[in-house]
Amino acid sequence: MNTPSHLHNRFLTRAALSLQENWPSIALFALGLLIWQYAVAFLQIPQYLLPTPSEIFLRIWKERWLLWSNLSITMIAAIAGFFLGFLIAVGLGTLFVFSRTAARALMPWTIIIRTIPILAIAPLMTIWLGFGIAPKIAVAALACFFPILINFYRGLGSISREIGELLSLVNASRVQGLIHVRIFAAMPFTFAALKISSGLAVVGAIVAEFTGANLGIGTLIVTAGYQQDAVMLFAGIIVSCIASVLFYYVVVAAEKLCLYWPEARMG
Amino acid sequence: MRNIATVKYTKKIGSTVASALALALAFATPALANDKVVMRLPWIANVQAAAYIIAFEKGFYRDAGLDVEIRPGSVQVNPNQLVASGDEHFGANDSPNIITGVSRGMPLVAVAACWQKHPGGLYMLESSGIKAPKDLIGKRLAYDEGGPWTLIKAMLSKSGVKLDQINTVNASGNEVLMKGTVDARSGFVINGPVAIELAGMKTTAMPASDYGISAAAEVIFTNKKMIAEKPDVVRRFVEATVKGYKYAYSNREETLKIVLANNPQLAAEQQRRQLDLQAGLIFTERAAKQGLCSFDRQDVASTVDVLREFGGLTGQVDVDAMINTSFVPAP
Amino acid sequence: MMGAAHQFVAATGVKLLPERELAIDIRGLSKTFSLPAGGNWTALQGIDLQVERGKFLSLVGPSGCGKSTMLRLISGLLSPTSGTVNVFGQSPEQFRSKNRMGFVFQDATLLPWRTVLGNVLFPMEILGVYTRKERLERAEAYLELVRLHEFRKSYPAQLSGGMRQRVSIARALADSPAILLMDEPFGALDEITRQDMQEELLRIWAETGITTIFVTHSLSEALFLSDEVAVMQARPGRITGSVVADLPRPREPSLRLKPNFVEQLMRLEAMLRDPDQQKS
Ligand SMILES: Nc1ncnc2c1ncn2[C@@H]1O[C@H](COP(=O)(O)OP(=O)(O)O)[C@@H](O)[C@H]1O
Ligand SMILES: [Mg+2]
Repeated sequence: MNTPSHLHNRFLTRAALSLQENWPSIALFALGLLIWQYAVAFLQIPQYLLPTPSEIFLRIWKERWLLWSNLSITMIAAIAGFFLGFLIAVGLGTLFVFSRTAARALMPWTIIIRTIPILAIAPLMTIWLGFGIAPKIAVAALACFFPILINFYRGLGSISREIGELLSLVNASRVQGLIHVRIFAAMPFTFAALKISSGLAVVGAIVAEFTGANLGIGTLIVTAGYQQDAVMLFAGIIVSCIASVLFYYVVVAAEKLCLYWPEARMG
Repeated sequence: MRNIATVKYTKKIGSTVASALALALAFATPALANDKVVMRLPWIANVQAAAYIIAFEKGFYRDAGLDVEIRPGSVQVNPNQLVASGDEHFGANDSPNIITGVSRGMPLVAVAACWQKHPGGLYMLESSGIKAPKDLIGKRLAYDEGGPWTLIKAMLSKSGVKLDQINTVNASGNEVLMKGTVDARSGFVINGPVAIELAGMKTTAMPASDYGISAAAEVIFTNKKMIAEKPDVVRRFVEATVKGYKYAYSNREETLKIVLANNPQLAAEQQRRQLDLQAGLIFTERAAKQGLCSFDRQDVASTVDVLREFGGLTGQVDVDAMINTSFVPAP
Repeated sequence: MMGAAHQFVAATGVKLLPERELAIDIRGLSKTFSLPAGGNWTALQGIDLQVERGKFLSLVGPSGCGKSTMLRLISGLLSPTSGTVNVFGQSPEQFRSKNRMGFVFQDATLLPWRTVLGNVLFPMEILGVYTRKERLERAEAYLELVRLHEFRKSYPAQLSGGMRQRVSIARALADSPAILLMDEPFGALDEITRQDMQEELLRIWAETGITTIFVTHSLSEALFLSDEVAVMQARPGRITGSVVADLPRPREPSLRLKPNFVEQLMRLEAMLRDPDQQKS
């Protein structure tokens, strides 16, 4: 069954299918780039205001190693922050299930933390945590922790009265209820939040780099801004967008793996 | 901060227009329409912009037949682009910034260099014992990307200190210095140290200009189209601004009062000290000889050299095309 | 596989108890809820009910008369405001700590992330009863009993409503409970499926001999299935009478059309319409 050629064929079929499904968005994207390219030339918009896509992609290719080395630093921080935020959110959410007092005491604080503008907290993080990767991870974690917490907690509580009664009838402990039922019930909610948070984590890491970092795509963007290098600025923005999208799809793939049962996925 | 200032100025312009209209009606004489221009500051409307604010408030611009709208800047807004695109008429920036813009193809022309000495430099706590660039070897130095960092690299190099002999970290704010996370930091010697002194710590400063690094700040620039089509407006704007400089620094208490009234969020004492320090950068020997805001080709050319060596400047810069020294009034 | 099911059925755990023992004994039971708007609401008042071991009893009555509340009190999910509930001589909680009580909800109430087999295994896994192998054998045997063995690897979302409800019946039975409580289990099914399920339930009941309390608002369903039908009325929830079904077992589908059945059905309907008639 699983001969290489079979796998190869399956891969091709899937690629063809995905092309069939996604061609409108791909076509629109290509059309957008074309219009951009020719509008800039036609309207004689100077490069320092809006470079053309071809200039930007040429630059990305030319500076690929510089971009890659900086992007990888940012993405490591973003992913680490994403996991940290996830762990904190899951830890707090679980705590809230076990202790209503803790939920009442801590929930308002999490909401206060959420209202802090990332841009305002980022410089403080640099002051508190130094200049390395730590403040980036902290800001990324801060950016993505709240949506995960809210959705995870809501998901834990989303079981029906009957399921709760079923647990009582089999004398399930709270831990058993959590491990066998609530976690599963929370998964679709949590993944909905994780998909949002993947982007927030990248933005968080980049914002942290704006305020103080030696390396990273955020630093590269700021430097390009100071150098008034519009092409590099766009190059930095575009590669970080690409990285964000890839990260998003990694989360989507993880979701497909974790939400294996039918009709599990929300929306 | 930005919004307050914008709203305020806009209102004032409105009332100026209204009173001009009232006067015109009262005397039934045909009123001369003023030229409307927009001036984009490099930073918020604090004492750094004293000369423009005074020229506005004291009516120097109006007397010169100009309706000036002063718009404050911020970290996110670079006046270069706004003036290059023709959306706005005048801007101020330091000379390295303008040169970089020109190297990107922006049609900018510098017309007056009002702070003949650049405020960029290093500062540290007095307790650090650092007195000369050589003392920095093996120490930690915080810098901001952009800003005066290029000038400082040039200063260190000129003093025989190599960058890799210092631990440099990219970090903003005075806190890193006050907390002792770093031993020195880059910045502007007219305001950074003041804030620390006001917090009760003694500081020392090392301006790059003391080490022979040539650069100017608060350089007024416009675009090529303005030079070609409305040279008269440029001349009147520069002259009125120079008048603003003279008045602002001869009447510092009044200047302070006006600046603070326009932006009540500013800290009075900090602004007072900054204004005094700024005077030293503006009223130089050269200003006395050749005039306030004067500059020449050689100044700009040597800044271009510094940028080529230390600021990663690669693009083409035609120095003669990017300056016009003819608008600065004689002393 | 069927043989295996019979083997478990024979092992139902109330053997030690005397033959005509009371499985459920409810005396002077009242249940009052406090309302969110303030004040109290008497959901059940003065309930007396005895069910012998192995019997099939139905509770019928208009919606809101407290049928579900009764099941919750019998299973110990709720505790009485006054009066007593005994299950084989113990309080429901005591009974449940050592024995099993099967509960079938109106909706199948399956865990969507577990397969059919996983759902049937769920109570035994949580309770930690039997060895892994025994649990699997039991689950498979009861899936056989509800005729869903081929679907053991399917997920609930891939089944029809009737199939889901059969899974939940298998789940309720899989560890040989002494008592089976069913709360309008066929309420959401179409008439044909419903009749199929009734027959299937009777077959399982006959095989297992499990004491069953069955809640429904369908009189014919109650009559067709039960040894005894208790009629309830609302405001306050109470038992206003009961009918011992005078019908032969096993019950054939054609029974529904026999005059005898229809006559008893009409008696039940009259009781439900005019509660006072039965008081005499
Ligand atoms: N937890 C509760 N809190 C308050 N009132 C309840 C609660 N549970 C049930 N009731 C009320 O008790 C009455 C009986 O409900 P229920 O047992 O569900 O009726 P049935 O199942 O016969 O339709 C209803 O009036 C219902 O509103
Ligand atoms: Mg009910």
